[in-house]
Amino acid sequence: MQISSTKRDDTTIVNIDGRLDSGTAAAAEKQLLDLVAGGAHRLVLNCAGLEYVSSAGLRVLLALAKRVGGVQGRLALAAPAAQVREIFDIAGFADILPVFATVEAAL
Amino acid sequence: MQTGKQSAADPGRHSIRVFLVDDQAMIGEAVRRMLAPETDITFSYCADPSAAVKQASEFAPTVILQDLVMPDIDGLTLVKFYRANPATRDVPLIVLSTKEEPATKAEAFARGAHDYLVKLPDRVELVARIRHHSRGYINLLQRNEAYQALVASQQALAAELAEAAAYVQSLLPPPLSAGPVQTAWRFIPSAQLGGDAFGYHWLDDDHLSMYLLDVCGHGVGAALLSISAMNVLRSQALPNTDFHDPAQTLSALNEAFLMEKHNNMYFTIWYGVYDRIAGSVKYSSAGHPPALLLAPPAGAPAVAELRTRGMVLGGMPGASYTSAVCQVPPGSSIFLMSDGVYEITLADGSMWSYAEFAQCLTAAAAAGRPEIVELERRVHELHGPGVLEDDFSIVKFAFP
Repeated sequence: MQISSTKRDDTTIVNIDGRLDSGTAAAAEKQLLDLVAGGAHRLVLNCAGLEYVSSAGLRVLLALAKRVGGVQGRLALAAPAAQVREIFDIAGFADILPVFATVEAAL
Repeated sequence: MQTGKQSAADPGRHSIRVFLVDDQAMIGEAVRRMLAPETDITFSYCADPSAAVKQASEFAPTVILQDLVMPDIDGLTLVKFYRANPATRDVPLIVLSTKEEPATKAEAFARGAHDYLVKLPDRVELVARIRHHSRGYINLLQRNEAYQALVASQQALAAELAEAAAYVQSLLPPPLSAGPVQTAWRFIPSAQLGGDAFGYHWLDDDHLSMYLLDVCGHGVGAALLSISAMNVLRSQALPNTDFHDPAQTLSALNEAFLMEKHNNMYFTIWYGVYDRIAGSVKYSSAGHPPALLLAPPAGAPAVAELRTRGMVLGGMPGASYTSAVCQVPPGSSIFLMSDGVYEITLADGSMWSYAEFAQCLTAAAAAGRPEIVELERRVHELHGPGVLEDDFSIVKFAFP
């Protein structure tokens, strides 16, 4: 699993590639929360390269959503593949996080 | 392996113990005098080579000084016996000999000696070599002891886990084989303790509650949370909560199990209540895979996915849940499952899908084959040998 980020105006686009599961969740959580701690309060997670999210991965996204909420920031999910989109839907994440078809739409 | 005797002055530490085998008493006395000033070294002398292995086993040395040339038994033959005896197999052995030929030295090392000294070495050199070899052996003993302690604690832990797993299994409800609702289930935890739990019980004469929950992760922590939640549902231990109302039940459960208060663990759950009189199921789900309703006709069942919008349970305070209702005509079945039954990694790295799982179950039902047995067979076929990555839980409710 790889995480990289770029800045577009005041929004940080975070690319998550690979699997977000129990093997990668701890490292991913640290990287993402470090971004927020470093001042990135408006985030778009580009999920185009995200192959799978387990319950451990969902926990990371929940933790990120709460941290961003705590700094009155904004977090959106973009471009998830169909299977990942289904995981987000079943987990009820659409209730707390907007999900967009593309990164551009999420900005 | 017999350990070296521990020093009385410092219990718990191995001390240096030297065992000398030499048929010449004057050599025994000379070495005794050389070692006398070393107050932390214990010395034992054996003049009879035929008794050497037995005495060494009893004395438990950290180094053996072995004379090479002796009547009846030669020193290198004794080396073989030391190596064959578990109590002395790894004890470092220093050969003492008057012979200086390289071929003799080479043979001693080939037979298992650790060092070779020409009689009698300087006292300083002898003590240094004794300390050097003993230090290595004592390190080995301590490492072995640590390993044995680890194995013992792992065995104790495994026994405790087995007992905990048996307790969890004992909480699962027995299948119902008669009555207005009949059940079957299969539970395969991925670790010895899983994070899945399920149950069903009559709230009153006409209402059966049915639920399956899946704590994120697995192992001891997840199992403890799953049992805790299941016990709350079994005993209906939530204040001001009508357990006939699924949405209200999940809302109350959410507040009781906020993840910040449970080591950052959340769970997903499907909770439903079967109304025997109305022939319907009212249900609510929290981030959980849909239950599957298979309605008649038996040969071509109508399939419906049953779930409602709702956040994973414990994820957010104040999360709201809704209820939905479906009819269950006679001959229907409802399957509750955890995502472990369909999130199976295939050989090409892709994942089986919920849709494919539903198809497998429906096909079995249409053919009149036992659905859960068929599903488990298919899952093992797809996954291959080895333990599944996630807990596998599925419950069938049949409404005759």
